[in-house]
Amino acid sequence: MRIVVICCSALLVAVASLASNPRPSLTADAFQVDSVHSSMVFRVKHMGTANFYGRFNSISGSFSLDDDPAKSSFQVQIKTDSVDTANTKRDQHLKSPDFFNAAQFPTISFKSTQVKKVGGEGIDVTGDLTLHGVTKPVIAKVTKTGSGGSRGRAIAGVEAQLTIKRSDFGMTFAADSLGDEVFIIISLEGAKQ
Amino acid sequence: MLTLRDIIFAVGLPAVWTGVVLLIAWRPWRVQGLPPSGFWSGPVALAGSFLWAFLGASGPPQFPPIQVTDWLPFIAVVAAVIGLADSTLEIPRGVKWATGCLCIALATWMLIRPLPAETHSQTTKLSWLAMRAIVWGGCWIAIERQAIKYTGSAIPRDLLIVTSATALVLVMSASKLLGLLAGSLAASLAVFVAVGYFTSLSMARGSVLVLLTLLSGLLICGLFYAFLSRPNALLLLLSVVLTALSRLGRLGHLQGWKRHSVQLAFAAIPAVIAVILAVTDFAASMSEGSGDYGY
Repeated sequence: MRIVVICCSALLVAVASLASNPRPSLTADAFQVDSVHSSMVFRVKHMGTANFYGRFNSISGSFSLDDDPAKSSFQVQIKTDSVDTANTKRDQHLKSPDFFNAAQFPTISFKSTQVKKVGGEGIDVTGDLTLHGVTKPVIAKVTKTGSGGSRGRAIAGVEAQLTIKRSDFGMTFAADSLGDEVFIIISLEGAKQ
Repeated sequence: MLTLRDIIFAVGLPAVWTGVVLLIAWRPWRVQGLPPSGFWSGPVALAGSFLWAFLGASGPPQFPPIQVTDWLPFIAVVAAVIGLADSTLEIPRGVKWATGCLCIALATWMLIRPLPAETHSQTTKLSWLAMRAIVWGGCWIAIERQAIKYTGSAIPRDLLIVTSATALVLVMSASKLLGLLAGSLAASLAVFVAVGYFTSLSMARGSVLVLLTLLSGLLICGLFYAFLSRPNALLLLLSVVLTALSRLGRLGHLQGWKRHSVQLAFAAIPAVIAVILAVTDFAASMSEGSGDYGY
């Protein structure tokens, strides 16, 4: 009888121990995008002369990172009317039907469909970018920029870079004064869920 | 800032196109006394001018349209076809009024429909549709009846004032595209005024319908998708309404300078106030410290 009690006690202790110190998850780590510490910047050439930069201030979404890149995924939503170029009238113009048409298309979104490892630190993330009501596949070069802890939660950072043609998304206005190619950087900080 | 391309496509080509079409149709050199037969030219000139401007500013429209403004060239074509039918066929009056109002209502719906349900419920959209169809349909019927009665340059002149003001206000309401499109209609109407001085040009049977359908569409796009303020939208609408009223009743019996003064004042006063408000707002936004933005 004593042996049975000892065995049961040992089993309970073992189960309790497992519960308090779970083994590393076999699935990817999921992160919720921290919109305060995430950024999206875009660059476009003005009058064939200088590179002009703007940003979007409202970013949300989630991503998951895994040692096996194929199990990683990314999902980002950006509020179109958060575009900010440090000029009120230009921001209004960008929100108008001439460009982003924020009233009709309030969200820009990206959802990954395939992630694969490339040389070095980076991964290639293929996904569907929905911009201006048009969804097209794009490839973003993504690198992990760091990881750590903040306010008791694990955090991780990634940065994506991609180039799109705005005409592919039906944004054809001002073709003679603004470049067609737009370079985009999306930097995400996520807190582990 | 207007580029050379903007000037060519939104002003130059519309003016030349309208000039050629109107001269072919209304032939100032024709023998006096022959009945006018150029009604068809108005819808062709106005819709063609609009399409030139759209092509120059935005390229060929997508079909099916995704972006709201891509509906505008198709609306121009449909309005022109209805206008051409009116100008070439003897359509019963009731059918004509119903078809024209339906055209305005359909254009309004195509432009309001893409608004997301989160910001504009179906009830709100239907209310706007009903209101605009009644007001703009009413304006069209009133101006069309005047255009049947009065030929020459007076009606195009009043509509030129409204359309020019609309172009200026839309440019300053954060959409150069909408401003250029309204500008192409203004450029076309300027040629109507010039040709109207020398001929018995009439805007009846098609032209007024095309113009008001497009003008209404541009104001909808400005109000819902750009930054056209409600007071300015109302003032521009008031300018159209007063143009429609300026020849009704006792006003229609005025003669000489009194008649022209009243007609000009009715069209111009709300339009000029709208332009002043838009300029003031634009100047105020520049003085906020974010610098000059001239497109």
